[in-house]
Amino acid sequence: MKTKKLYVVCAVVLCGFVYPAVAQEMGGDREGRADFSAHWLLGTPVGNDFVKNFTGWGANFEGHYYASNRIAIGLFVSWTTYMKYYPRATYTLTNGDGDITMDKYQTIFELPFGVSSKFHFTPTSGIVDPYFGLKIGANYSKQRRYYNIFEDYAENWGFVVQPEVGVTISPMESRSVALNVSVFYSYSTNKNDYFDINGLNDLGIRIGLNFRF
Amino acid sequence: MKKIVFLSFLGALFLASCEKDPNFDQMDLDFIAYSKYDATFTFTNTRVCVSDTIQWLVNPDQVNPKWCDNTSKQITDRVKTNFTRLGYSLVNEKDAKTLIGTFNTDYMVKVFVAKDMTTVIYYSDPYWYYGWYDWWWWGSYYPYYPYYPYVTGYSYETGTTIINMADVTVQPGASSSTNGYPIRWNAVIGGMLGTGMDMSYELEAVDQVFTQSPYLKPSSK
Repeated sequence: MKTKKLYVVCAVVLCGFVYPAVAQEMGGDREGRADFSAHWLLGTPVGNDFVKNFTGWGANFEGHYYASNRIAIGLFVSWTTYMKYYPRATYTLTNGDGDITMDKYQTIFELPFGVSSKFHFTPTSGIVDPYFGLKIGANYSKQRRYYNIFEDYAENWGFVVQPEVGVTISPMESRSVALNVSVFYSYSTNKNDYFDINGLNDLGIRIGLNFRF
Repeated sequence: MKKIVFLSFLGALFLASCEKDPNFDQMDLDFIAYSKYDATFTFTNTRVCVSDTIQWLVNPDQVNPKWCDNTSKQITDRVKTNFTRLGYSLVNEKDAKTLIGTFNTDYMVKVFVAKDMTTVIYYSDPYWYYGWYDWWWWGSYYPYYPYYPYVTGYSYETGTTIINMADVTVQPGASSSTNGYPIRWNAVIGGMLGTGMDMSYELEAVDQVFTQSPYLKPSSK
């Protein structure tokens, strides 16, 4: 129920960006064009103790169509693996009636995909072109714990929202190729009681190239 | 349309394959040492019988051989040494059971090692579960002790070692719905025993399960 409400709120926010901009914007160099970006994705989970480590095992791909000079709507898919090594230690079991001694690796794999939108602050592209973005969609995730020859494993789906602030930098007048950097926060509703995960929240950076057609 | 679905499927497979594996070389070779006890029980009695024979855990349709040689003796002796160190007095196996079926000991301890089988281990804090593994199956005085599965696990052919400590001072089935003696302490050593690994890993793990179980030390009533 909570997820559905969140979904509706995000859809309203997206529409709130799109319609006024389409209706009002008349000048600029983006409308009717499309872009595609490929990124190296770096980041860290926040808000859970399962993995807290900055890793760079991720990638992101997204493409948009500019419905106006400020607004672009498209699709995205990304994936990343966060992981952390924990040296050998003795851990007390949850119920306090036992212990386990081991070293372990814990990993979180995330594969979010869905709708991507971008809102540019100016109708015309500059050499430095900042934007605000919002992605919504589904997040497929696997959580794993490796210890000795064993592995605990869980997989789950969640609803994901990713606000971001980014910039493209291109000295070319056509802006057909640009360096693209963005900072994002990812909130998704994935849950797993066994690993005590209640939501997967990440803070990350995307660094890549943006191609405009 | 079919082509799109097929390409989407291939794409999903490709993306799912992008999950990064950890650097397993970084992990140590030490065996996992797991121990769990009956938190409602106080360890006051001091007589313990540790079986000199290790029971192989094999698939249910196979014969059920026992392991008793110099190598297995290293393990059972190490278990005995740890019980002695804690203050227990050892009872010989042949003296532990009387002709009328009663015991001349307070605890019976048995060691099991998985062999030539796919041991389906469901590690689910705080329980371990061994698929078909039931005490009654061994046809001895060892009772059934339930392990509850909780999440999906990982199967592996492994030399997992299990040490069970049964309380034989009570009537079978008296403290649970199962018709057996209650297990007061259970240890699991996860590793590759029997596959060329150094025995020192196994023996260190035996020491570790006792070290992390200080409540085993007999206390006065």
